[in-house]
Amino acid sequence: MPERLHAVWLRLRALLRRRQAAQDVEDELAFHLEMRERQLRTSGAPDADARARRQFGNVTRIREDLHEAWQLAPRLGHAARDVKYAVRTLRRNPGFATIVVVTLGLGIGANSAIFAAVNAILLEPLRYPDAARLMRITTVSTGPDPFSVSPPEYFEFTELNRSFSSVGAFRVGEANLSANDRPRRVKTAGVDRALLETLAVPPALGRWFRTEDTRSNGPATVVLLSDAQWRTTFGGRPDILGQSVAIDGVRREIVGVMPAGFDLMDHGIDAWLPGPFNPFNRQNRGNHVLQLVGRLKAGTTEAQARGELASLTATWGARVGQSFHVFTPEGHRLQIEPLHQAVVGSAARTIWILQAAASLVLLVACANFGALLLARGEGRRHELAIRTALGAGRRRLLTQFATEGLLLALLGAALAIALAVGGLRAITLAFPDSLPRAAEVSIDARVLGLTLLVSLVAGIVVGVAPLWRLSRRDPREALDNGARVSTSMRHRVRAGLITAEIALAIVVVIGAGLLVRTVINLQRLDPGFERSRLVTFALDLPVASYQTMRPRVVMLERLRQALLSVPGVERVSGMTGLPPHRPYEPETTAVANYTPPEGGSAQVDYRQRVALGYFETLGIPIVAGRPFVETDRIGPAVAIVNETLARTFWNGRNPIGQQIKWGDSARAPWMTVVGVARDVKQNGVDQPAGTEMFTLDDQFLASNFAGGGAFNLVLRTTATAAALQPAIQQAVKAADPSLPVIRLREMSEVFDDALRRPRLLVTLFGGFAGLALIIAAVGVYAVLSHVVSERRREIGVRMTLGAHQTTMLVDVLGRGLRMAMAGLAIGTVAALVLTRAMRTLLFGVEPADPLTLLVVAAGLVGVATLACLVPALRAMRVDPLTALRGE
Amino acid sequence: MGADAEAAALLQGTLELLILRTLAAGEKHGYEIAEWIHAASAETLSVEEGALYPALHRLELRGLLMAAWDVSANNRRAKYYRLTVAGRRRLKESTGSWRRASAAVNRILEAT
Repeated sequence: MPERLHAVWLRLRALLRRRQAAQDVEDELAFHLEMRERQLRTSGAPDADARARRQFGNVTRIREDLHEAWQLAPRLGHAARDVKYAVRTLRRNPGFATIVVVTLGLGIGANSAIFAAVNAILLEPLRYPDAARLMRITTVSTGPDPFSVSPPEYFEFTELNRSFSSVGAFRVGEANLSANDRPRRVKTAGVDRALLETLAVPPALGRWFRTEDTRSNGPATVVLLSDAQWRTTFGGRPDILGQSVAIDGVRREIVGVMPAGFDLMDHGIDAWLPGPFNPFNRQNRGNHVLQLVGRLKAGTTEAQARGELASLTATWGARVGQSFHVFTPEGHRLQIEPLHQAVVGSAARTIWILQAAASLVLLVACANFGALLLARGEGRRHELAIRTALGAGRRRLLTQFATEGLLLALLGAALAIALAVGGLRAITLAFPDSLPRAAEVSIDARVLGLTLLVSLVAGIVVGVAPLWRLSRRDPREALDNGARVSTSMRHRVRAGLITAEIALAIVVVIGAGLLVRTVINLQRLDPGFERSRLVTFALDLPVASYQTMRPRVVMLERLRQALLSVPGVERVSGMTGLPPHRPYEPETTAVANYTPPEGGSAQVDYRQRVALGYFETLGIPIVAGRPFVETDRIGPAVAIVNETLARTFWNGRNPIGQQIKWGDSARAPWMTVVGVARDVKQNGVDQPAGTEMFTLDDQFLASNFAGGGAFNLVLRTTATAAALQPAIQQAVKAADPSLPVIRLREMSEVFDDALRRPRLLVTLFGGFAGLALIIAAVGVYAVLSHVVSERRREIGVRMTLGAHQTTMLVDVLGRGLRMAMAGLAIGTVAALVLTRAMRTLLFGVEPADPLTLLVVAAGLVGVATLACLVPALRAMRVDPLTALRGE
Repeated sequence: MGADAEAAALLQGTLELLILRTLAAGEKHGYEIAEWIHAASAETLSVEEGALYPALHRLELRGLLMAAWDVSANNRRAKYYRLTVAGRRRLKESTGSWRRASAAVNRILEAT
């Protein structure tokens, strides 16, 4: 090693005095020659000069040997020369270089952007300490969807389980937060101390809630702020602790600020409130309102926890001393899943499918790169042959080609990174909430590394592989201009690459076509009510001023009347939950004349308290019985159910006149069913409707229900939301000046929200498909152009012999379309297999959708014809004389 | 000529050893080294003289020789080489192993 260092030191010194070192070499050799010459002359030899040189050997070679020996990194010299040469070659052919760099850049850039999402959303652990141990705990019944846990169930699970070191509960909501008299709508989470301990993220400032803060009795007086809320609402002031803020009209002391990026289930929580219990739900086994997160004990696996849960469920009733509404192995029971999986949910498949599409685009770009290089390599046979004849070794030539390939790929990578950064920004701007953890997506070191790796591999493999064969060819054969040997072989490889490119592009295009049909289907889907010409907004009635139902009913009726008198408003109503985004919250319900299956109970999936005119305003048809009428407001308790509920509980019997309760409490009054409404999609337009019951909000006037909570108003109108805004503000102000109008918008926008994820998917996938198609078309065009210029002579001869111009046109067109058709066939077959992976992302369309396949085929033929037409026309216009004289 | 070519080929591998040995007697420039080898081998070994220089420079880079420019006997600027401590050590080692190897080869050649 010291020997090496010594050599490096000497070489460095030589490098610093480069000119002197070169002169030294010259002097040393000259001195030797001179001495020898003098000696020879003295001994009387003739031609002393020449003999001295002969005796010395090849001066030039030795001089080069010496220079090379002194070079700091001899290979670097070659590399620099190769790069210089490559740059010169590419600049001589800027069109080629641009096409390759742009197509590769697009292909790699698409991959980098999507990989950034894969990395941040799917691969990176959630931002909690030891996040792999966090599990989400939900309940599941006979239905497909998981739902929340009731407080007694939560307490029992915390008590019984031995797998989790801690389990915490939370409940997500919204509230009006006002500091410095500027109220704003914020996302809240009611959490208990155990939840904070489970997530194990200490506050950036201040303290967590204490256990006594989260007790349900006693007024809640504290709040933890998110970092974002601290910065926006309070300007990040350092003396925030101890300040107070009003939340839904109740003043609370700020006891802490959570660190930046701290969130829960991707809800974007602004304020953390002590909770999530109230005096009413602590004992209520059927009140499924809590979301649970547990932290597995160190060393306990998910499978072990699941095993313990199964054995607990088998004997739950006996363990907790309850026989009613307890977990059973076949019925209502607890289940766990990793929190990461719960956060990412169905987005994982969306992201992976996008990654697959982006990879296909990259493959298309690579095949295109290969085909273009090959076509260009053919054109460079001459250059190759001359350089081989001049003594360039095969290895040197290959290095030279690799350098060119790498240079192109690296330029592509630079473009790719720029595109990925810009693309990601554009996507997050256009689709802010379509993907979970979207805020965490960025181009980090891992993404950069992958981008570089992909481009290097593309550059070396694609850049060199097709030329391997070329450089092996005998230079004389290449120099011999007449030699048109093995053209069929060359053309087969090139055509194969183009066909593969088209096939790959077709797969992406078919995938995009299926997604487009999915979005169209989702948009056309009947939600069960007339959604056009509906304007909606929400109010959040603070519990402080609406402790009982009376002020609520009075205020809402006054508001309803005020809104009805607004010009352009035809009907007005209201409801607790706005379709189609209501949470699935099955509630155990007492249903007369219905015997639940063994161990089960009657579950109502969605419950609505509505205002008068609900069915008329939304345009939901009443299929049997009647809607709510004015006299119901103070009349006997009545309910309206949907078709699914009537069918589920009273199958075949007349639902009108049946009895049902709000919940299953013994004290709750029975309500008589007076009507059956058509099913409405309450929880996603692509989800089944579920069982649903409606009651008139006004009928709870005398109940012990709290009057606070969210209430949605809906207006059937000919005006737009924007046009109605002043009148609505006015009406709300008159009814209760303290209430802000929340989320005033048209119903169609609410539906657009439901389509955000499919829209994101179809936008990106469609973009990739367009990209793949354009790259493939460029490939067809470039290769055909090359074929035409290569065959100018042949075309000239044929035309001289009397071939018609159109024959030439047809010939070239046919050549291109043959490749396109082969690609189309292969791509379609591949798509039939591959698009099955997308099945869960599709709606109302099968992977083998004939319409999509047909449209794609027609589109491809169109694009391919266009791509072939330009070179074909050029072939037609070949002037036989110039062509024959040429070369 | 045939015998010379064989000798030259043999010499290539041992050129470095010969250079080290030549310089053991004191510092010399390239031409002197060539002459010295030629004379000391009783005029049997005459190498393509140019090959000497890459070998010299390699040895210099490896730290076995040190080089300095000086004025020659006929008042010309010349590059003089001399052994370093490491070079002297290497000469001793290489001489030993060369002796052992050549003795072994000799024994085999005379073993009939």
